[in-house]
Amino acid sequence: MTEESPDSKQDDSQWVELAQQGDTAAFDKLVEMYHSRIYTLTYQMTSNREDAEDLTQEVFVKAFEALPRFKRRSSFYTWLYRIGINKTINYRKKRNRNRPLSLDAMEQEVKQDEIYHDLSSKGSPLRNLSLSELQLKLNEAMQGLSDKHRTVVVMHDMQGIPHDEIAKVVGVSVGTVRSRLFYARRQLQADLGEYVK
Amino acid sequence: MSQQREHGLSEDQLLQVLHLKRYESADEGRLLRNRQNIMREVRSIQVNRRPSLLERLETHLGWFYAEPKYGLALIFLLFALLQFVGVDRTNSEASVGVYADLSGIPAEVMLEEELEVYPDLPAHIRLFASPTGGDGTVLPATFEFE
Repeated sequence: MTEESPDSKQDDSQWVELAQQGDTAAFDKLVEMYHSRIYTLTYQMTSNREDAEDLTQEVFVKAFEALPRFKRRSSFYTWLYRIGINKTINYRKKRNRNRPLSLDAMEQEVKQDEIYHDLSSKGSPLRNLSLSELQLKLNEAMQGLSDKHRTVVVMHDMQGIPHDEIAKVVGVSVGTVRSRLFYARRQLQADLGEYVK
Repeated sequence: MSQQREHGLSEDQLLQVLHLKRYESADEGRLLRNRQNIMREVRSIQVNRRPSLLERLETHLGWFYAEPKYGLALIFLLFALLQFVGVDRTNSEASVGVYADLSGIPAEVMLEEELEVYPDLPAHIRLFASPTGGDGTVLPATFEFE
C-alpha cells in the first residue's frame, strides 16, 4: 500500500469547486478519491474497524458541511486529513479509550515481504510470534500510546508523511514532532520488548 | 545494540514491525457500504440544507476574501455614503428627530405642573415698573421704603 502525504496534489480542484456549490455528485467523486486513505488513517489511529468506519463517515459528513467555508489555503486532502485527526482524537476522548481491538485481516502478500522474512528468521527476537500474534501485540502497543504520540507514529512511520507536513497538520513545531516520535518509539520498543523476553 | 539491550527491540526492528501494518486491509464490501452510508447522509443534508447568510455571502463574495483590499475599500465607501446620506437627512425638513406633540394637553395643566410657589410680596413693593415709552421696555423699579 503506498501512502501519499496530505499535501500530495491530485486533480481534485474542479470537484472541490462543484462540491462547494452543493453538487453532491462532485462530493461523491471526492469521497471515492479519499475514502480509502481516511479509513486507513482512522483505523490505524483506533485499531478498531467499526470505530474507523464511524469516524470515516463523520469526517466526510463534517467536510461536506464545512465545505462552503473551505478557503483553499491548503489542499483539500490536507484539510480533510486534519478533520480526520481532530475527529479521531475527540472521538477517543468521548468514548472509552480501552475499547477492544477489532482488526482488519492481514493480506497474505505479507508473507512474501522481505521484512516479514527478517522478523521471522532465526536471529529475530520476534521469531516465536505468529503473524496474528505480532499484529495483535503491535496494535495493543499502539493503543497504549497517548493520542499525540500515536498520531505522529501513524503519520510518519505508517503513512510516510515528512516531519514538516506533520507539524503543519498537527499545529506544532517540527522539533516537537521529532521529540514525540522519539518518545513514542521508545515506548513501543519497551512494550513490544516485553513479548520477546 | 545498546538500545536493543535496553528495550528488547531495536529501532530498526520496531520500524519493521510497524511496516507490517500496511498489510492490514479492510473488507471491500464494508468499505463500499461505508461509502454508500456517507453519500446517503450527505444527500439528506443537502436536501434539508439552507445556506446561512454567512455562507451565501462567502459563496457570492468570494472576491472579497480573495482580495481583501477591494473589500475594505468597498466598506469604506459604504460608510462614507451612509454618512453623507445621514447628514443630508438631519438637515432636511424630513428629519427623523423625535418631537413631542403637545397639542392635546391644556395650557393650564402644563403651567400648573411647572408652577413654583414664591412668597407673596407686600403690595407696596414693586419689582418692575409698568412699561413706559412706546417701545414696551420694562424697567426695574427702584426700591422704596414707605
